[in-house]
Amino acid sequence: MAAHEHFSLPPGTAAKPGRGPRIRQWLSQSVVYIILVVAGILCLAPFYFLISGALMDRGEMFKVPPRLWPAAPIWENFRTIFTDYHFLTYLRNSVIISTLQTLGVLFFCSLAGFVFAKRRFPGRNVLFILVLITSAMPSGQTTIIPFYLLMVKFNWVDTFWPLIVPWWAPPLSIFLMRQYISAGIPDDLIEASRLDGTGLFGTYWRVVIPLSIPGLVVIGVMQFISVWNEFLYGLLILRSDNMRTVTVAITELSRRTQAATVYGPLFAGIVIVTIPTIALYFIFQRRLTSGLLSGAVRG
Amino acid sequence: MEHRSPLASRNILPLLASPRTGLHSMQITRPKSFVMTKPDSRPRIRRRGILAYWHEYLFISPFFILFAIFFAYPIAWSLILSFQKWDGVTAATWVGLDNYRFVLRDPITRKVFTNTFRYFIVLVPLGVFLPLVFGVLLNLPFLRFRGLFRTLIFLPTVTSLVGVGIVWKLLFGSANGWINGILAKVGMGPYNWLKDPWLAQVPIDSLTIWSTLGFATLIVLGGLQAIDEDIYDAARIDGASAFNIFWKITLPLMRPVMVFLLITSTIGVMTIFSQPYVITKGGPSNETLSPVMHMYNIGIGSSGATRIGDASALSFILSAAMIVIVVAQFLITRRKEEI
Repeated sequence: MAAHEHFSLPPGTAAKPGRGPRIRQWLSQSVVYIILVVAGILCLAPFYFLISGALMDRGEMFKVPPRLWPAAPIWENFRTIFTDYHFLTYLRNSVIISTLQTLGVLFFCSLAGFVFAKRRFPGRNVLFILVLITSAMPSGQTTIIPFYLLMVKFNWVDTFWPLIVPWWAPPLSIFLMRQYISAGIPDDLIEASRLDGTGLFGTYWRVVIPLSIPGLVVIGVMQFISVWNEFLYGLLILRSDNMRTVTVAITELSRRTQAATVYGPLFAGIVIVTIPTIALYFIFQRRLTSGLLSGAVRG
Repeated sequence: MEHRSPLASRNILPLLASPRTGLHSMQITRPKSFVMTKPDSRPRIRRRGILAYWHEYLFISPFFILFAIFFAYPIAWSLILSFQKWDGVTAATWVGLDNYRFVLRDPITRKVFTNTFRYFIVLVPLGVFLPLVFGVLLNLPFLRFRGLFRTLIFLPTVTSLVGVGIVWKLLFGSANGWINGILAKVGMGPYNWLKDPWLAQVPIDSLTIWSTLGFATLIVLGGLQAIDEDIYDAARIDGASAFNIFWKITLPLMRPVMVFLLITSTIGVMTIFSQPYVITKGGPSNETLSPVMHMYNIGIGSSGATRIGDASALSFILSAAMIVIVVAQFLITRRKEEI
C-alpha cells in the first residue's frame, strides 16, 4: 500500500537522510501521530457515549455530575426498545425501503450505464449531458413541499413508494456505472454476444451484469447506507407510527414531551440502527475505499 | 451534511468532469465519443433511423421518466404555487408576487438566512481546510496504521446522522450534559449550550463536521494519490524544499478537489436540516432555524396554518441564492488562464 503512495507533504528531513537533526524528524512525526490519535478519539467518542447511554437507566443518565459509564449495565434496554416501542416494525420498514430502493438503483443505473457506455445511438451525448446537468441541480431538499403535494395527489402519502420509486435512477450512479462498464468490459465481449444473436437485454443480463459485480457492490452498498440513514423524506411522507423508518422513529421518540423517560431504550435503538451500516462498511471496506478513492475522484 | 450522509446528497461530482472546471485527472472515458459531432458525420445512424434504437432509448428512459415526474414536474408546479395563496385544502387564489414580497420582508426569513450565514462562515472554511489537512496527514509516507486512522475518520460518515444527533443533544445538555461534566473537571462551565443564541451553533457545527469529515478526506486522499510521483521527483532533484513542493505543486494540483469541497459544503450548509431539527428544533427563539426547516414548518403546517405559497416562494429564493453563490464560487476559483 505505502509503496505506491506519494509524498504530499514530505517531512523536511525525510528527503535528506543523514543530515543530523533526527530529533526534529522524530518530533514532527510525533506531532502528526498526536493529531491523528486525537482526531481518531474524537471520531469514536460519540460511539462510546452512545453505547454507555444505551446501558444506563433514566436516573443514571441525568445524574449531576454525569456518569461516563453505567455502574451496572442495563441490558434490559435492548429488550424494552422492542417490546415497548415496536422497534421491530421500524426495522422491518427500513429494511424493505432500503432493499427495494437499492435493487432498483442497481438495475436501472447499470442498464442506463451500459447503454451510455457501449451503444451508439442518435442523441446519446446530449442525453448523457442532460443526466450530468441534473445531478448538479440543487434540488433534493428544496423541493420537499411540491414533492409532498404530488404524493398527496398520487395517494402515496404514508406509503413506502415515495421513498423507493423516485430515487431509482440517481444521475451520479448512472455516471459511475457508465464509467465502470466503459472501462471494465471489453467491447469485443459485447460484440460477440450480439453476433450470437442475443438481444440487447440478454447481453446486458448475461454479459454486462456478471462482469460489473464489483462496481455494483460499491454502488449498492453506498446506496443502501444512504437510504438506511435517510431522514427528511421519511419524516415528510411517513405519517402514521407503524409506517415509520428507524431514523424517523428514533427522532420522534427523542422529541416526545416525556422523552427523558425513554432515553435508555432509545439509545439502545440508536445502537441497533447504526450496526447494519457499520457492519456493511467493514465487510466491504476494501472495495468501498478503493472504489471511492479512485472512482469518486477520477470518475 | 444533509447528505446526510454526504453519500446521499444528489452530488455535483460529475460537473467536475467538464473541462472548464479543469479536473484533468478526472476523465470521461472514450472522449472521442463524447465530442458532439454533426449528424452528417454519422451516416450509419441516419440510415437506420431512430426507431431502430428503441431498445437503447427504452433502457435509458427510467431516468428521464422519473426525473420528469418526481423532480421537474414538482419544481414547475411549485413555481406556479409560489404565485398563489393556498392552504392545501380550500381553493387557491392568484396573488402575483405577494408571497415573494411577504417572504422577503418576513423577519423569520431574514433570521434563517443570517443563521445560514453563521453556519457558512464556520462550516465552509473548515469543510475545505480540515479534509485537506487530514488527507495530507493520512498520505504521509512514514505513517503507520494508515488504514486504522482512515477507518476511524470515515466511520462517522456511514452512521445515522439523526441517531448521533440525539446523542449530541445529550452530550451538550445543560447541567447534566456529558460535555459540561467533562468541562467541569477542568474547572470550566457549565455552559447552556442549547439555550444560548450563540453557543447553540456549536453542537450543530460540530456534528456537521464530525459526520462529513470522513467522506471529504477520502476525496482529498484520492486526489493526492492521483498526482504523478514523477512531478515530485523532478522537483526534489531541482532542490525544492518540502514546503515549496506542497505550496507550488500539491496545492495547485489539488485545486479542483478543493473547489469540489467548497461547493459541496456550501450546498450542504444551505440545505442543512437534520442537525438543527434533532438537536435544537431551531431554537432558542429561531437562532438555529435553517431555511429548509422553515420551509418544512410553513409548508407542512407543523407550526400554525399551512402556507404552501410562502413555502414555494422561499424554496425558489433559496434555490436562486444557492445558484448565485455556487456560480460565483466557480468563477472566483477558476484558473486565471481560463478567464
